[in-house]
Amino acid sequence: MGINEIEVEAASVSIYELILKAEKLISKKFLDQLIDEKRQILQGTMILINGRNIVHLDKINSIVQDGDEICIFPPGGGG
Amino acid sequence: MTREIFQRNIQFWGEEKQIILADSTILIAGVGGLGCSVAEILTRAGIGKLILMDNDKIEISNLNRQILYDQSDIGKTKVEIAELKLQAINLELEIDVFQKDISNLKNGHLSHFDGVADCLDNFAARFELEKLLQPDHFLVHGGIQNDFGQITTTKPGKTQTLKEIFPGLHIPVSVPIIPQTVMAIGSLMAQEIINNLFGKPQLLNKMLILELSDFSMFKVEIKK
Repeated sequence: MGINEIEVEAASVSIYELILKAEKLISKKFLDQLIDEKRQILQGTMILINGRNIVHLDKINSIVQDGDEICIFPPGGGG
Repeated sequence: MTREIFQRNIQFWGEEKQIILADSTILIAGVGGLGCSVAEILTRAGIGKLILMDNDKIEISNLNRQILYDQSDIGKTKVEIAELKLQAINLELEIDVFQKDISNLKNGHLSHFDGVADCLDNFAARFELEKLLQPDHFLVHGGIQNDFGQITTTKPGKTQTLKEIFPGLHIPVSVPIIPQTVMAIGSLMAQEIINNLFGKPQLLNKMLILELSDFSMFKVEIKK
C-alpha cells in the first residue's frame, strides 16, 4: 500500500485536481488506480476529506479547502 | 485453576477487569484468519463466553494463517475444531457454535452477546452482520489484504455503519493474505474488543490503518 504524507498547496479545488497536483509533486501517477475513465471511483478505493468519504460528498468533484486533510487508502477486504 | 491461567493478566489490569472479561460474551463472526487469532487471544485474556459462527470446512490453503487448525483438521468444520482448541486452553470457557452463513443467521438464533468481532472475509457479509446489532452492542471491524489492514469500532446510532463507511465495496473473497498481517490485525482487534468491554473504546469514529512493510500505523477520523 505504501503510506506517505505530503502537503499540497491548494484551495477550493476539486479532489480530482488536487490529486493531479499531488502526482506532479511526487512525480508519480496514481489517479488511474483510483478512478476509471468515466471518473467513477474504483471499488476498493477510499478517499476521505477530513474523515468524510467523498462518495457521500460530491465524489471525485468534491471540493477541498486550505487545511483539509485527505486520506486515500484501499481497505482490506479479507478476514 | 482458571485464576492461575490469568495470573499475569491480573498482574497487569487487576481482578476487577478480569471479572469484567469473565462476564462478557463476544460473537466471533467468521473463524478464518482473523477469527482464529481474535478468538485465541480473547480466550487467553479470559473472556467468559464466545459464540463462534462460520459455515466453512478447513482446507489445506487455510493453514498459512488460521492458527487454530493443523493438517489433521482438514475437511472438518471450522467451528467444531475451533471449539475443541479453545476449550483445551480454558476448560471453563463457554462456547456456542453456529455452522451457518451470516445470511442464514437471524437475531433470534443467538444468545446474548456484548459485542461482535467482524472477522468476515467480504463486505457483503459484513453488511449483513451489522443488521444483527442492537443499540447496546459494539462491533469491532477488521479487514486485511496483502501486508495492510484496518480496524474500527462501530455502534448503532453512535457511528456510521460499515455500509456507510465502506460504500459500494464488493472486493473479491480470495485476496492475498500473509500470516503476519492476520496476527497483527487480529491482535489489535482483540485489544479494541477488550477496550470496549472495559468501557474505553479507542476507535469509535476512527479507523486505525496498519501497513506492515514499513511499520506505519495511523488513525484517521471518520465523519458522516
